Amino acid sequence: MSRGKNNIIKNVDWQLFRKFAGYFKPHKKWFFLSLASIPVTTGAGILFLWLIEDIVDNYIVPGNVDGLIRQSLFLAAALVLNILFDGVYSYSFSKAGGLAVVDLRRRLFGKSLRFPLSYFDKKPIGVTLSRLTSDMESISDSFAAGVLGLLADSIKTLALVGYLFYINWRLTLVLLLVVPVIILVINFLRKKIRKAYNTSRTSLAKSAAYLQEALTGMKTVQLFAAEEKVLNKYDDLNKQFCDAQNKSNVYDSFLYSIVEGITSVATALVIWYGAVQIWDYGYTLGILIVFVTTLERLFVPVKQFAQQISTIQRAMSALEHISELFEQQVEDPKAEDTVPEAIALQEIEFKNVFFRYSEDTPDVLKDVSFKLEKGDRLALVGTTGSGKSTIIRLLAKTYTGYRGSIKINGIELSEIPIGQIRETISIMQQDIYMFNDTVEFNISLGRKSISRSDVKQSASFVYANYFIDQLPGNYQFVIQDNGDNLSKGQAQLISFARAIAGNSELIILDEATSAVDSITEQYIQKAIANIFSKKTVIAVAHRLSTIKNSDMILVLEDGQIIERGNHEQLLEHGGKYARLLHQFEEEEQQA
Amino acid sequence: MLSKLKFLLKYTHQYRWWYTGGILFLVLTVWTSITIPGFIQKTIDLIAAGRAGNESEFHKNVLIIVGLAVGLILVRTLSRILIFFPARLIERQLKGEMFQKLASFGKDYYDKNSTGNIISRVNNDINGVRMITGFGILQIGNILLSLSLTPYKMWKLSPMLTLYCVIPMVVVFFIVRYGMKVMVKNTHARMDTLQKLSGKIISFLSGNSVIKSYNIYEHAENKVETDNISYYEASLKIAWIRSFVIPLLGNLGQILKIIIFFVGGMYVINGKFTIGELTEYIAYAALLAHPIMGLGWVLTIFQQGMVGISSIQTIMDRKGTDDDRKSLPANQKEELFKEGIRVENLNYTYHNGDKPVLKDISFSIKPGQIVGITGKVGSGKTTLIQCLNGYLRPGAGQIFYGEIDADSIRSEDIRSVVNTVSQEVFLFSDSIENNIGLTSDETIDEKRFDDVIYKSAFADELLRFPKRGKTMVGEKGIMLSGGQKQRISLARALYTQGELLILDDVFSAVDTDTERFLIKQIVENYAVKSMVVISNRVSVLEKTDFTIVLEDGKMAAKGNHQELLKYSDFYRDIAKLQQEGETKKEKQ
Repeated sequence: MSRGKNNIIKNVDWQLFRKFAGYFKPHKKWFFLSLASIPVTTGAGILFLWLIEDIVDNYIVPGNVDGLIRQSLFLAAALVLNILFDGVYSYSFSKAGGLAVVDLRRRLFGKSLRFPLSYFDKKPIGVTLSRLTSDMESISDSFAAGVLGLLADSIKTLALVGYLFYINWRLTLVLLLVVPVIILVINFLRKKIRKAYNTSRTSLAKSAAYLQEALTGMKTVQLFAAEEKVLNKYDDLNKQFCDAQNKSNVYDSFLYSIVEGITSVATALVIWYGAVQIWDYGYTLGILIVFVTTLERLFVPVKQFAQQISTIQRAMSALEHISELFEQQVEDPKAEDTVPEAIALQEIEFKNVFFRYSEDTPDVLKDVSFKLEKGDRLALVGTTGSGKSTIIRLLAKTYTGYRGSIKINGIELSEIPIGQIRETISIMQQDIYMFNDTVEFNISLGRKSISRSDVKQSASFVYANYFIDQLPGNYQFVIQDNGDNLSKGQAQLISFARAIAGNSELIILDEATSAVDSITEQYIQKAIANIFSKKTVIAVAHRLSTIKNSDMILVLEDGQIIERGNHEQLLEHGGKYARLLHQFEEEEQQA
Repeated sequence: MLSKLKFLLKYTHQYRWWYTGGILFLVLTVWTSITIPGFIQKTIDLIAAGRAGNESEFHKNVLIIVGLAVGLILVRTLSRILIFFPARLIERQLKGEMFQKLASFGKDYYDKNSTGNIISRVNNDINGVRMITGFGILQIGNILLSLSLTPYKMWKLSPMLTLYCVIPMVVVFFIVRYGMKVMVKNTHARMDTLQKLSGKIISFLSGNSVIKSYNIYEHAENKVETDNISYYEASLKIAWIRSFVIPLLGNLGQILKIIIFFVGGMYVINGKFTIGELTEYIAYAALLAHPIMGLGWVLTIFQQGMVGISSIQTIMDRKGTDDDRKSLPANQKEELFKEGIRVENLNYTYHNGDKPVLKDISFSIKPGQIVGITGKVGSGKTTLIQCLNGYLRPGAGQIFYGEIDADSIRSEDIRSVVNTVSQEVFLFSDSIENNIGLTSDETIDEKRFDDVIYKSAFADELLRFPKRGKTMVGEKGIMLSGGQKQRISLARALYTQGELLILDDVFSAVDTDTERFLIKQIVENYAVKSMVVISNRVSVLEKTDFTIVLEDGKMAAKGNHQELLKYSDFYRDIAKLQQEGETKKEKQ
């Protein structure tokens, strides 16, 4: 049972690994250069050892001065070779890894842009961000430090041990006696350390999360004079972290000291047995000195082994994180990069449409039917959560999976590629998004079909030119992230211009509810009137003026259309619409 | 610099016995490790001298090496534990002190500093201090001891050879030091590009719907690609130094070996050295590599830690809002609201604003009164109540609690009598109970809890949660609707008993039925004695003793329902609108 489970995990790991390794292919020359350096640097390392033995036995002990000078130069050359190719090995691997990550990030960022919006409903953007940044970083770092480090260290150590075996296998065996002891001790302590480390990670995360909360809610904390209580809780979490950290400190210190001290114990062993060999079997002193002086090198990989394993584990878990991005389906897998032709809109028909956001939630649209022809202006009215925005989202194909039928010019919506829908419809969203770029860019959005004069034309069509002309640099004024240096109303006007510039036949207007100053409000109303006069419009409406000017008003409640007609008809009827209207009036009055 | 050292001394001094013990064991550690090579030399020379007559002496020396090695493990462990421990304690203490300080800052500080920024200060800067007081102190001790004792031993064996060895040590150290500087510079550059890259990724993913609507994937991809590449280039520069410069340090031992075998080999040939002494010398040189490597890191740790300290100091040295105010004596505190609050010609301008938000406002609240505040968005309603509860400080001579000028009263004293339910609701990721009691482990008074839950119209809904009051609220209260959060926050204010309750537009987030219930419970049944209510609902305002109508920061009118219907246009308008809405509803 457990074996089977293990196998599966390994299988997944292996697949992930292969997927990632694929990204190395285009950069394989750097990868192979790196691999090829390993034997050179290993050889140089062994040569260094051999030269030391040679120097002691053949030059120092017999007293050959000329030879000593020559051999010392060789020794220096061997070291230079060793350091140089160590560098080549690690640099070219970093380069290969870095290039692979550049490709990976480019590909996955592009992919995540194309994820359906519902993906970001479930996953905060911060998560996707850390997949694309820190997780990728730990992959590139960890692979260099972990996998190849482990590989290179193992090869070097094996070569070293092999060489020592070759010059004196008995002495090597004695030396290797300490290895199982070290492995046992390290294993024992590592388990303890990992446990304490996990506790400390969790408590650190808790303390950081609590700090963030307390700072965000500082006003509330202060208004209730709860500083003391909050501090106590925070300190409590810090104490947990501190205790766990200090516990792991004890094990850490032991581990470090044992690994350091074991060299000296091994030295004593080697000297003791070396003496036996030299005295009883006539071995040379040079060999013993090679052993004594290279002992510490032998234990370097032992020290790093534990660390390398944990870096590899980190890389693997990062890979697993990233695999989510690999597996997530994009919105429209068939979509091509070329921009499709817009549909020449004639009519849109919703017939008995039902929709729910997920399997285990109730329907948010129930039996919705209506028809819209070119040039019509349709207003959707209702309280929050009545289903207005859902209608728009379905039409824009932001969400799919409706039941019933939605047809554009008689073609079922699900048959129309998403790109084509987006060319046909322009949406003015409620949460207006501004890019950190010029006004001109924020209107044209870099669409090739939109010229500079198109930008100006659409701006004046929606009365945005008045405030743009006041901005320093006019159309070249750089808007800060999220439009922080514009007022809400100005941002709305720009988003109007943005939608108009695309020259789509159908405009969907999701009116923002936030209050704007009275001058901008006038411009906005005029802009909407202008749009109404030229285009087919579906509006999720909050403004009286918008609602009044529509040909048809649909009143929604709890996912159903409960009233329909124009302003006068509905007012006459005196139902839900009439009541809602008063609420709007009241809100406008207050704002 | 001096103030930073003082700062370090202040904290390390508290744990001086830990450090003294740690340093003591550190001395033993260094002493033991430089003693071992001497015994190695003896054994090797004994081997070279042949077995006869030397065997027992040889075995004794081998055993001494083993004994010293075991001792070394013990003292080294102790030295590390004793020094690392207090560093963690200091870390914890600093976090607490820093938080306490932060909690004393007002709106002006939090307007200027983002939460993310503050958190990174608390976590990273304090981490820097921990590195100095732990690893830093250990390394400094180690370096000072090793770099003085080991060269001394080497010098005793051969002064000339030691001088030869100093040359590569100094050269390598400076090369690596330079390399590290370049690396630190590039690490910063890399962090900057990473920040840019993250910023762009966040920006494009947040604007994802726009990108989709307008098919502008290519633009987003190109923008990110630029930073993607420059990030890679910065990383590669670091990799270069890491691959070719830093390893020089790790190979210092090998470099020294070449010199020692060459020069020391000559000495052996000349008879100045025994072969055992040559080995001993090499063992010393190996001991040197470690502290020199450490030296590079210690300098970096101190550099970064000092930057951290100065940033901690800017927070610690900043005055808290209440630092200049004295606590009220207990009897005055108890009677703080006995005579109510008087507002006299109140003016207020925000620290970052240029126009006054409140102009010449005067009125008074007597104990037992209910006061309404109404007005358009931006007319100064919230600012006014924040002056009353001491969140904003308008300056002396404008607000009085009885005869005491509010300007001289500490915020905590004001809040012992005034409770506020503000518009923005904040809930901790904790149980509903703990959010209402603002407690963590102390048990909640159940009777009072049930009472306030009922009064804030949350009792029915609470029954629907299987764990009732123990139900956990998601991060910042994500599981709950806006209205539910608002009512929990109301319950919190009712639970924390005070004399004056301020409600900032609490009724706007609930439906009409709940609103009626709340008005009945809180306003009519006197859940609290005195109250200030911000609202634009006439159904609420008509129940007050008097209502203040704010217009553009000025008091446009003041009076009860009947008076305001006569004198205030704004009040009349909202009354009419709401009246119509009501009748239409009833007709239905």
